[in-house]
Amino acid sequence: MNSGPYIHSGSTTRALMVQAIAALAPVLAAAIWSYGSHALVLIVSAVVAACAADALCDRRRALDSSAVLAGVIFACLLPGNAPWWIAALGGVIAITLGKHWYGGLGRNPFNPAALACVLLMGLFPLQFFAPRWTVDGVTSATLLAKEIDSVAPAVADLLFSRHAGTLGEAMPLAILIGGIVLLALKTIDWRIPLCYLATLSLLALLLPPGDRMTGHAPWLAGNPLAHLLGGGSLFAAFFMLTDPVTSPFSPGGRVAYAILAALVTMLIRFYTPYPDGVVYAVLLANASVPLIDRYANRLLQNAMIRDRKRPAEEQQESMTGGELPG
Amino acid sequence: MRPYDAVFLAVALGLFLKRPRLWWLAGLAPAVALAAHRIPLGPFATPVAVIAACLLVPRYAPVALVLAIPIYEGPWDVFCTVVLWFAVSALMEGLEDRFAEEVLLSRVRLVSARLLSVAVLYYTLQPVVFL
Repeated sequence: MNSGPYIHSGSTTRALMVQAIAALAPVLAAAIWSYGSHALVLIVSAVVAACAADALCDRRRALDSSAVLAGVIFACLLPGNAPWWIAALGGVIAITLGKHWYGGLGRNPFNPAALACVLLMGLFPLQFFAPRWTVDGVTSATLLAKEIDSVAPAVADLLFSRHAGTLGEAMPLAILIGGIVLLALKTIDWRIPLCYLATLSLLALLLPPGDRMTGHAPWLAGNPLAHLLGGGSLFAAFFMLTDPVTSPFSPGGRVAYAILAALVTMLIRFYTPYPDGVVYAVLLANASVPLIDRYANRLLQNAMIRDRKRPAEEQQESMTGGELPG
Repeated sequence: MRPYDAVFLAVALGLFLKRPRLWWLAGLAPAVALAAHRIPLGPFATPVAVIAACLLVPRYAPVALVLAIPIYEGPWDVFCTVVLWFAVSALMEGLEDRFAEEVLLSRVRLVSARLLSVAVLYYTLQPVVFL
């Protein structure tokens, strides 16, 4: 028998997917505005490939919109100048390996888009990590890239992102709008984005900078705003970590999960040459979910046992007049 | 083979073995390997390390063997490898519990899902090498 929860919230899978896709619309619009038609090519390639793979793997459930969502999220993780075939390949990997390999919708332990992204980063690192700041004067390295002599951007530049990285980083303001829509519709749990972003800010202030950061971009240390609005932090907080299938079921578990993801993100950003550790953090947090759920279950059971014992003890106390028998 | 690669190979091998009660003793294999290479044994250092590691927990010998093969630079390297091996083993144990709940997964798909999970963790934990 599968573990809980069993209470039906009343909303369907398809409705949840459509809400998430609608919330992503401002992000996609911002990406197309920033990167032009190539962003549209990437989004369409990823979505079409994901839908085709989904239809081939399971025709009956191909209309639940999860493939569209996985394709869109994967496209948002791509650099603005990635080739279209990477987008298409990622869409196929997200659906075949990330979703159907584990038994289909609702059974995947990892976020399919993050899984596809990390596998492709391992297989084609040049497409993701190659420097791209001088090609056409428009595209540039992600804000968090530890480049020599990089300078701290202004707040307006951060909000409207004039230093592109991935499509999802095109405009943090658009992500905030989409995130607020999801929170207002109660599609996502507020605890995950709040705890993730709060821990991220705290760690940005507390962590001592690594050698690479000190030598290349010292302004990244002690600068929570740069870490909140730069890189994929906001996108992951609202659209990736909140996936109900790959996040813990208990509220306390979700808090621990968000804190773990933030810790991993910041350790990667501060102490490794990787510019942004968000997808790695998402996958590692996903992998920890069964353990978090197990401990959360144990705590819940202990609390229930304590609650059951208390009335029995109170009853015994009232019968013996507060004195222990014997 | 890097110690990092050995950890994931050992975890993948462990998926196909029945875990003995003292399975965690295989975590001593890197320390045994380092000790064997520190003692002046000449060309016999690697065979001695491998045999000693396999004797730690014979039923889990393939796992210990893989962990004993890399050349460890020092105690810190050994410590990090062992911590990583325990951490990945714990994560895989959690994921396996989840797979066990999935009655729809066939035996073949279950094995491939486990191996895919190890591969995903291999790529996911790559930045750990730099920490």
